[in-house]
Amino acid sequence: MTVGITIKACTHCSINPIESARKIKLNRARAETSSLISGRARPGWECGKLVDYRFTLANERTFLAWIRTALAFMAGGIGIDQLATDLAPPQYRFFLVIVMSLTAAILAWYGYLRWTANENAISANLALSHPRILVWLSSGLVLCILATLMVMVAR
Amino acid sequence: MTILSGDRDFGLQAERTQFAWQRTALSTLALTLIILRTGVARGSVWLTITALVSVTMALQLLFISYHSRSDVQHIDLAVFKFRKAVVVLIISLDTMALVLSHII
Repeated sequence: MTVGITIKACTHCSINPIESARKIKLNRARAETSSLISGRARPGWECGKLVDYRFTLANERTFLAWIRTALAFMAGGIGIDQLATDLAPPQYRFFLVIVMSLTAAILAWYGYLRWTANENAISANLALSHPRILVWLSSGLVLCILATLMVMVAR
Repeated sequence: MTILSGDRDFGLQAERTQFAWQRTALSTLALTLIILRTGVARGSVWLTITALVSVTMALQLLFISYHSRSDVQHIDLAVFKFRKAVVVLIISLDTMALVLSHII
């Protein structure tokens, strides 16, 4: 039982599916020598490379998980701003709102950059990089939670 | 007939991804609506305008997510990239507007 899936290439390089298999090696070499080394990563499908769609979709869902994390931070910031008026002194609440909002924006952009880098690594059959931002994210969360608890107890 | 694991899994990954997009689009729309309400309640013009733009973009995101749900076997990766840019832009705009509304 064979079931096909249609993956459209971009308009910049409308490669014939028959020709694409022949050009995989060339594209891979180009990606390794230019995009990956220079850090200007481009998704493999933009160059007409054949990537296993399951990996692409898994990468897609990982991006969405980063976005939902960013949305959670944004919701936290709005919640503190709108609903938790008695949580802490106004200055500390504003600090929390600004920190959580900026974290949300940074996480959203990081998710996009990471998706691009992962897509390129998958295309070139390279190992995926470790998300080093997780250490900073976890540390920042722990510090903010502890500081908020201390402020709430001190009040 | 023997069904290989790749064949058995066909479609489900695409479907899961579509549901993930719908969850994200709905969450984004809800948050942009809350920011719109915040902007109106606070009387901040810039926050309200940014929220209105974000709500429009979030609605577009939701429409694309539902539209492509019925066609999970034909994945257009260019649409995926467009959606990513839209959702990142919405979050960035709203968070910046929220921060600026406090600072200014």
